[in-house]
Amino acid sequence: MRDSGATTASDTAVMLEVSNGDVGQLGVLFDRHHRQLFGFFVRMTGSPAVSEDLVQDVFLRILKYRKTFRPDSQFSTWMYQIARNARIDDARKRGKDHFLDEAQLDASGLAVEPADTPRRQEADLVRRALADLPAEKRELLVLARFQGLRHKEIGKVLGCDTGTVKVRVFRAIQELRRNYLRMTGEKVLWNAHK
Amino acid sequence: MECPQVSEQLRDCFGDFMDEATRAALRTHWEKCESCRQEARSLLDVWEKLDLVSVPPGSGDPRSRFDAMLASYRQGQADAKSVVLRDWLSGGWWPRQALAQALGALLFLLTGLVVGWQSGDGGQTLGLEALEGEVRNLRQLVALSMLEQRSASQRLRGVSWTAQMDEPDAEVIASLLDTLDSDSSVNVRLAVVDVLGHFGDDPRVRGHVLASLPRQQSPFVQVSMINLLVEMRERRSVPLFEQLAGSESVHEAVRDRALWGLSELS
Repeated sequence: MRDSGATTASDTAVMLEVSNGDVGQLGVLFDRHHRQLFGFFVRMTGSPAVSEDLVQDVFLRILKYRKTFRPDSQFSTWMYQIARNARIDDARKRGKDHFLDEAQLDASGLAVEPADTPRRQEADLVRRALADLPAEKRELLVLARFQGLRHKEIGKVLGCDTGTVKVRVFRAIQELRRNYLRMTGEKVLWNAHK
Repeated sequence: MECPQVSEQLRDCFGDFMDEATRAALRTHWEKCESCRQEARSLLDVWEKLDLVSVPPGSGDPRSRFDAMLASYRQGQADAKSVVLRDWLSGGWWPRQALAQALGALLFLLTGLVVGWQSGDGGQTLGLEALEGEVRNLRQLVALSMLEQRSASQRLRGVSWTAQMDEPDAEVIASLLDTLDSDSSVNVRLAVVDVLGHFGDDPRVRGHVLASLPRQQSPFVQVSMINLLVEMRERRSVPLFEQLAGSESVHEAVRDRALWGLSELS
């Protein structure tokens, strides 16, 4: 993440305490990171309820696997590796990599503005364009755009080199643009039809 | 800067650091090249529009849920410790099958004889060595017998018995490798991978782990085997790791681990 080195070191130091058995210290890391994680999951799944469960699952996994945390690794990178696995396992359990459809949006609380405002309509188009991406591409964009991870850090999360991340993020944004333009065209056609 | 270079540099605009000189060079190029400017503008426009995908506040009190989870985890840990102790005290350490029980009893008897012999007349070196050999053989027999049990927990115990052996004979190694290939329980196979790490100097072990990796069905076991091959510095695994890393049919976690393995061994 684009935090200062001091914050990163502090996370690592706290995690090492957790790793050495002081599990109560995990609360410090929860307070620091749960909102970011929630945002990651909401943008990946479209469901706040599922995302809340996944945040708890990530911290439970951190507890379980605390001994595997290495002092030379960055906590946020390790946390997002766990978060990815938690999301993939959850998607597998549910049988699909779901993302809320339009009908579910109002009930979910994700749609924070009335449906007829231009901003909300624009937001819906972007959300649908994002939802139409394969999960791997959506994940890359979320990590790069919202979670504040640089390409090098994303490479560590995904287990690939920085150059590969750069190319994949670029392809993902190109595909997002294609989806968005397709949907904009559909909207124009729909309005003309009305 | 020419168009292909601009296209290359444009990749840094999406979530990575770009120095001021590169930024200025891009701007200069865009001023004179309409197609590059339009391409960049439309991509950056979509990139910025992502901000519209807002995140609502969560519905509950996440910290309270976390505290409850932590308390429950601590309670579970405490319960597990007391169950293990109770199980051990009530004879859980003792094998349940008659043959394994008989072998275990004989093992204890011989261990007692060895200890007695050592504390008595120290001149009986030859007999002592023979007895120690018997004890070693019996320990191996117990382990082999437990590896054949129907219960997965018994087989797990068998695997952990083998971990205590300094130099298991060929039959024990073969049985462990057979368990790795054919045991129905993922936990047992994972335990075998852990134990095989103790015998990493044995070429049979290295070769078999390498051959068995692509046959394994469980990604957990595959990841664990990749870790083991890297730990053993088994360079013959490089082509296999390359194959796994590039295969779409392989689980993503395994592909990632294979990539990591390649970076560790290269």
